[in-house]
Amino acid sequence: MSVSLDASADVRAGVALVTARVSNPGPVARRVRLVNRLDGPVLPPRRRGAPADGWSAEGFDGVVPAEETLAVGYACPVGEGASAGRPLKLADVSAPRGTTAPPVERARRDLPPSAPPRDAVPLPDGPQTGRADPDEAGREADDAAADRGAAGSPAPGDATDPTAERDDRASRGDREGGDDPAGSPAAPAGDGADGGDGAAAGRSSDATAVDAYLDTVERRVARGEQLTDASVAEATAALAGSDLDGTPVAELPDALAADAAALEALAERAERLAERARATDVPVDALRRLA
Amino acid sequence: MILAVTGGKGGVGKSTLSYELGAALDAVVVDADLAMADLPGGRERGPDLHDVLAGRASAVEAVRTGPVDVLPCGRSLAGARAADVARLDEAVADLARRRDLVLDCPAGLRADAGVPLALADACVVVTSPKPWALADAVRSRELARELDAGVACIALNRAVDAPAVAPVERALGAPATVVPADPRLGRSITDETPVAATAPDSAAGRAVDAVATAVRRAR
Repeated sequence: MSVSLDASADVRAGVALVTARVSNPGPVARRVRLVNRLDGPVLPPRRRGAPADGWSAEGFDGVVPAEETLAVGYACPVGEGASAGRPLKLADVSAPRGTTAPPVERARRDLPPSAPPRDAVPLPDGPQTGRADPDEAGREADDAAADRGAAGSPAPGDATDPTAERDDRASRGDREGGDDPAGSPAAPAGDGADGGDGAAAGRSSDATAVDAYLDTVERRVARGEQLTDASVAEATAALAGSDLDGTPVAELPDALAADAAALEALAERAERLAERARATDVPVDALRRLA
Repeated sequence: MILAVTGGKGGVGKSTLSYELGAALDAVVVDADLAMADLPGGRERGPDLHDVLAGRASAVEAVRTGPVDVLPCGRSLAGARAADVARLDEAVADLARRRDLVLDCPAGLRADAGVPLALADACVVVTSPKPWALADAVRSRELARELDAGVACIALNRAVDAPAVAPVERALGAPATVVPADPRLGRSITDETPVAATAPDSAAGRAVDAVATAVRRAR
C-alpha cells in the first residue's frame, strides 16, 4: 500500500492549471514532496497574498493523513500551445516530521484574517478622488495614498503584502491606460465599468471619469500624430510645447501602443455592453403589479 | 520579556491595563490594535506602528517617551488595511532586545489578536467580572494556550462589588486579580497619569501592582 499521485493539467490561455490528488491508503500519515515538471514557475494558492502552507518555488511539501487523500492545485504559466502531460512527480515519501510551525506562523495561518474590508477603505484612485484633481481629494484620501504608495513600493517580490490585491487592481488600471503617470485616469474608468465600486458614485461621475480618460488619451494621440512624419520644424514646435503634457517623448510609442490596446478592449466591451443593454426588457408594469 | 494583554471582548479595559502595566513594569507599551488604536500619540507626532510594519520606520524610533513609553499605532483605515500583522515579530524584535514590551492586543480571535499573543512569553487576560463576559475570556485563554503564551494572570477589571474569584480561577485555570473600578484608571491614558505611578497606594494602584507581580512571577 503505497502513496499514489494522480495529477492532471488543463492548459488555458497559456497557463496550466494543475490539479493533483495524493492518496495514502496506509495506516500512518506520510509526508510527500511533489515537484513541478512543467516548464514554468509554480504559482501556488495564496491567502492574503502569502503562499499557502507547504508551497515553494519547486512544488509542494505536505503531510497526507492515514487513509486519506490530499487534494492540491496550482497554476503554471507554460506558454501557448505547450502540452502539460504529467505535470507533477512524486519526488519523495517519508515519515512526517514531528516539528510544528512556530506560534506566529500558526496564528497567521490558522486564524481568520483581520484587515478591514476593502469596501471600508476609501480608495485614493476612486472616481471621486481622482488624481487628476488632487486639490479636491480629502485628507483621508491623501493619507490613504501615502500609506498605499509607501506600503506598496516594497511589494514587488514580497509575497506577504496584504495590499497586493489592491495593487493588482491599480496596476490593471495602469495597464489599460498606458505606462505613464498620465494614464492613471484609466483606473477610475476601469473600476466604474466594473460595476460594483462605481455604482454609488453615480452615472455622472462615471461618465466624467471616462471623459477624463479619453481626453488624456486624445491629447497623447494628437501628439503622436503631430510627430508622425513631421518635418524638423514641426517636430521642434511639437516638442517645445510638449512639456505641458505628462508623457516623455521616449515613452510615447509604448504609451500609444498601450492606449491602442486599451481602447480596443474598451470598444469591444462597450459594444458588448450596449448589445446587452439593448437586449434587456424590464417588465416594469408587471413588476409594479407584483409589488 | 514580551507580555500580551488580551481578552476576547472590546471595551473591557485592555488598553488601560496595558498602559498601567507599562508603568508598573517599566516596559514599552505597543499598541498592537492595528485597526482601532487608542493609546496616545498618533500620526501627527511622528512614525507609528503602521509605519514600522510597512518598513518606513524602526520600532525604536517610533517610541514616544512619556510617563509611560508608548509605541502608538496609526488610526487610518487604509493604514490598518495595509499593515501586515505577521511582520510584528521582526518589527519589534530589535525593541524587544532593549526593553520589556507590553502588547495591547485587539479584541476578537482573528490573526491580528493571535499574532501578538503568539509573540508573547506570557499574557494577561482582561475581562469584565460579569458572567456574560467570561465566555470570551475562556476563548482568549484557549487561544493563548494554543499559541504558547502562558496566562500569567486573569484581570477581573472594573469590579464594583467584590466578584467571586475562585470560580473564575477554576474555569480559566489561572490566578485572578480583581481590579476595582476607579475613575483615575479611566483617565490614566488620556491624562497620561498611570495610577501605578501617581497613586500606587490606592486600591487600583495595588491591584495593578498585584497583576504586575503575577507577570514577574511568570517570567
